[in-house]
Amino acid sequence: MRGTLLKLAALALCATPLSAQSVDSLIAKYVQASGGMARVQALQSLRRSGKFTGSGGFEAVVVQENKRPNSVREEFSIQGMTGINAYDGHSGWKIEPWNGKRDPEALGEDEMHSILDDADFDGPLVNYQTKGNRVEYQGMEQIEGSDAYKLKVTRPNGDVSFYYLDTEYYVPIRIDTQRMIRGAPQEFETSLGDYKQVNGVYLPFSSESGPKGSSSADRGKITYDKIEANVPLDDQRFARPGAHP
Amino acid sequence: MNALLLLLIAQQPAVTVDSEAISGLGARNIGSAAMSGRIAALAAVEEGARLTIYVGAASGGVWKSVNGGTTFKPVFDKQPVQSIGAVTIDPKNPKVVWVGTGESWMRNSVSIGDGIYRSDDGGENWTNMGLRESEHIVKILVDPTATNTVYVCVPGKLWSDSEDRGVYKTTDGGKTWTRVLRGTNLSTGCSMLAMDPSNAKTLYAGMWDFRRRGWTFRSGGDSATAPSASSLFKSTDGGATWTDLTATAGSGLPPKPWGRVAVAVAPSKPDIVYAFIEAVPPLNALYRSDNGGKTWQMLDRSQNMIWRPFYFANLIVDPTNPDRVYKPDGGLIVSTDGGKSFSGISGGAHGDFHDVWIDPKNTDNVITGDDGGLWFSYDAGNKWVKNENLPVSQFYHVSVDMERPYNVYGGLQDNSSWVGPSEYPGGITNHQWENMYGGDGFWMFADPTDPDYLYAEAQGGAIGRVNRRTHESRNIQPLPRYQEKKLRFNWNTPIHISATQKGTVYIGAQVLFRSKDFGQTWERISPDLTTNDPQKQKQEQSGGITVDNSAAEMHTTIYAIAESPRDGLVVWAGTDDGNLQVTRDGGKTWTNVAPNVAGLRKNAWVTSVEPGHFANGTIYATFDLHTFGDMRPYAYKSADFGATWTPLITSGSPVRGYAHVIKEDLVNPNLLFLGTEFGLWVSVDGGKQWAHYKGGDLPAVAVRDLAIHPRDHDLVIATHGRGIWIVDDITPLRALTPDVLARPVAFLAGRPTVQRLQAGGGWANGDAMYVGPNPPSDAVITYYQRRRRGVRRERETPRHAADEQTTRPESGDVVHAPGGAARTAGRECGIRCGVWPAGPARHLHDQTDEGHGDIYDAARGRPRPAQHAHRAGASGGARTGTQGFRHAERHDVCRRADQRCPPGAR
Repeated sequence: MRGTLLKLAALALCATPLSAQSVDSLIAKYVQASGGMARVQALQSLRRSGKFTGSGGFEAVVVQENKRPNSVREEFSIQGMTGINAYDGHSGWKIEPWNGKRDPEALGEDEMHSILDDADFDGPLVNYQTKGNRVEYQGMEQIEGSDAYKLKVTRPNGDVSFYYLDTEYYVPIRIDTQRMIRGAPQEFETSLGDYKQVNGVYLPFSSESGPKGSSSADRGKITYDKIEANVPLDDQRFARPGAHP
Repeated sequence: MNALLLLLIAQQPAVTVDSEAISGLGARNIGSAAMSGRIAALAAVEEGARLTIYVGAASGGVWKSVNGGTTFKPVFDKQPVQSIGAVTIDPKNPKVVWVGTGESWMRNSVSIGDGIYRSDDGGENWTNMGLRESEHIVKILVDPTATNTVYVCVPGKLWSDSEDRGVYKTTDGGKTWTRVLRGTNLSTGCSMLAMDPSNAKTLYAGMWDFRRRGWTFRSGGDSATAPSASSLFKSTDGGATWTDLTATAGSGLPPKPWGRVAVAVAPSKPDIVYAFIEAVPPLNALYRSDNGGKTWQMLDRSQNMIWRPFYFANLIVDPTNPDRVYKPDGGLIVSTDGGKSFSGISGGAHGDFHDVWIDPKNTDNVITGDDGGLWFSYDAGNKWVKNENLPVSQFYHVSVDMERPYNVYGGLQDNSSWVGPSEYPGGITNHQWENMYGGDGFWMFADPTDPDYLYAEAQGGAIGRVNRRTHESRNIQPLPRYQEKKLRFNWNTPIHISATQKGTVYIGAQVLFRSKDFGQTWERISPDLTTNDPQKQKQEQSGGITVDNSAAEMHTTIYAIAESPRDGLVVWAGTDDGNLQVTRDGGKTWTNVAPNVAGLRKNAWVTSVEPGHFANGTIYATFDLHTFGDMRPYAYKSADFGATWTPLITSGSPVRGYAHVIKEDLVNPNLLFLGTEFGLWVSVDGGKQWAHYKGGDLPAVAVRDLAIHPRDHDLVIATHGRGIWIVDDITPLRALTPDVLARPVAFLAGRPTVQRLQAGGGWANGDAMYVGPNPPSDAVITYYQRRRRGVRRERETPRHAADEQTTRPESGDVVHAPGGAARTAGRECGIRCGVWPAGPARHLHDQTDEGHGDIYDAARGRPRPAQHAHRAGASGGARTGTQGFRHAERHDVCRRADQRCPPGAR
């Protein structure tokens, strides 16, 4: 019975007329659909573990660790070797061991734009004002025949993402990102799916990313086997090895 | 409680099959940009130190480059039309872009638009600002001093009278429009508009009286009901008042009647005005005024100045040199002496030019667009670099062969007939496409009896049998009999390959020809099947002021041919003048069944005929009345050889655009595909409901032809403006029965997945090359999830709450989800594909997945799994189910005629 009541409440939520949509109400619905702000903010760390599949069947094991407020470490393992991209809230670094070089280097400009997005623990929509993000509602748009709410997110560094929210559940089903790198736009699109609960918060367990307009066959796919919440993650994991605090 | 729930479930409305339900089956665009397609309009601006370019494709949308043309992206794909007539960038704010839809180079195959659009963010978002009934727009000019003031040159409707033409003006950025100049009759609109950049209230407008019909074209001259209104006007008060420049005696302008008029102001010396005037020969020429239009001098009238004004009527003056003038025509010509003489500078470009952009900061940098795409020059037009990145190819027809992987064949507007692979290691680059013939291309087929040969044609029925390896071709077009008048072959002459008798080929003039010896000899198997109306056989006089004797207006011809796949004696022939003829005895006797189509206007152009694959008497046909100004789709079905007909598009149908083609699926008789001027439509219930297919974000581009691959079950889509698209494996669509549609979720069977072994191919092409994607190499698991949006519309009613309950009675954690369980929110409704095992797991649930990564391991050189059945599972609470699927090894990789598969591999 409790379930039924909850569902009815959810149905009423969804019955808002389209014309009444606004940035804040859409984001509020997204947060609520995800699990509510309390549950979202109760997540202090996340460890996502799974598999990356590239074009032609290329496979790698991936781990992404996030810790509030904005630390992230991404591992990419093939053939027993692990590459790392990480950001500790101040600087980004990487280890690319593929040709035997195992000491860290600074992330390049494109990589920094990317890892800053990944470091945003709750994504750019949650508490967007305090992050300095500008969000505009740009109406409904169809994604392969399905209606979606289109939100334009402009980050302080000028990067723009278009978030397409499912009209039923208000969670993102596609993100188109435009970054200005060395003065030229780079455009990517990411499809999200397989939302499942982690400590009461719905998170996407699969994604598919590639240059804008690329076909599914040419995109990289990440499928997480598990996402663990509030695991202890030492700050050292995010700091550049050898760097003095 | 349970009884109540059952009752409520029973009251559920029928499931709507709409775009959302079917578009989850993606499509891939294999191009090609090798031949690219017609470019109608150009605009460019320097943003910072880099050049931003907007390209208006004749029927393929707007493309934007922010790197001077290295890469392009389509920015108009979400809009309901794709034909572009004008693109203009706000001179003060490069993020504000205006697009006039509806190309205005008024050839027989020109598409239509639905008004003027504005973007305020560099093309990311567009708003239709009105002029919706214009159908064609040729020029947009923004006042550089007050950019909310915009003038629009609207030729207006090509095929019918219309009030909606002339020069329109807004002073509020497009919110409201005033028509400031109109023709004196309903067939005269604006053909070109020019502005004095130093005094933006000074405008020149060419007015054009024109009309196309299925059998004739009139550029200028008198209409049946009114004297010609073509002329040249000037305003000096922002369009409030206009002066007819021909009214002044001694102006030097030629006497009326006129046809099309082009006009341009020299930006660096605005008293100099150039006008091309389609006057009665020999006064059709370039005219120049040095005093703002008071007096004129006749100058050049070389062939590329005066040829085909309906298709070429644009003048571009160098921004800094008033004596340097470009005229796009069959060839691109330029004058360096103020218009006295012109030189051809087409160089290695394609030809049939339409627009030119000149860099105002360095006039050596020139961009032009023609029937073959986009071209760059860095030496003022002496030499040209081809753009390889715009897949705006305009296919008329498509067919496939049985190679493995199969090849795609098709002909294009002014771009010959090409064959390209459906997949290729490294992707389908421009290099994989091969030109096999010449001229304008239309129908094209592999010879099913000999893969070394194919059939292709050029306009007017110029069919050839072509050797695929040597490209040697033999003209096999049927000839008239001794002392017989010439045969009437349509511009887009139908060719048909028999499905029942290998080696039998049909081609249609006014009579139907059949060959059983590869075109070596032809027999006439019909009398004249058309209305043979002599009033519609004056193609040689067509053109108006300038006679234009191509085959484009050849009428009273056969346009569609199809032999029944079930009975080779049953042959259908549809004509462009409204006859639909059938023979059931191999051509001995014919019956015109068009009069049996109740409610259809007489003389409707039969654009396609599709005999049924499941019953001998079944026939589908599309009819087109757009040449009478009626842009609506017409499609009918008969189950009794045409005696009685059922309309497949009824009032309230979502289908838009005049109809080009209808196809019945090869397996499921209820699955139909309909191509119209505005896209692809699918019905899973025999034509009762139609859904706009938007998979792969296929835009609302004209779908001219379709082919279903009988072995691989792909749907191959020939678009006229965006190349070839392939929907890989339509097997899931075949499974969308009413029973499945009513289920909350259901797995849909797919074709066996072929393991693909890695193969090398392609090479680094840089970023300026279009590469068509290959089909997915994963095993694809497809499922249908009932559309939830329809449920939501009535959400507050108890029965849908009950429905929610019954669909997932046991899935406890899901029930707790606010918003109704977001766990599968990616692509929530309709047909969805998950790739197994590594795809973006759009499985409904993963608890019961049994798949493992075998296939990928195999593809990466690890042990391959045996060919056996796998099962993927998914659960949705009580709806747990599994879907079996097989994967089979690929026997061979064989892709070209000279690398054909061994018989066992077919």
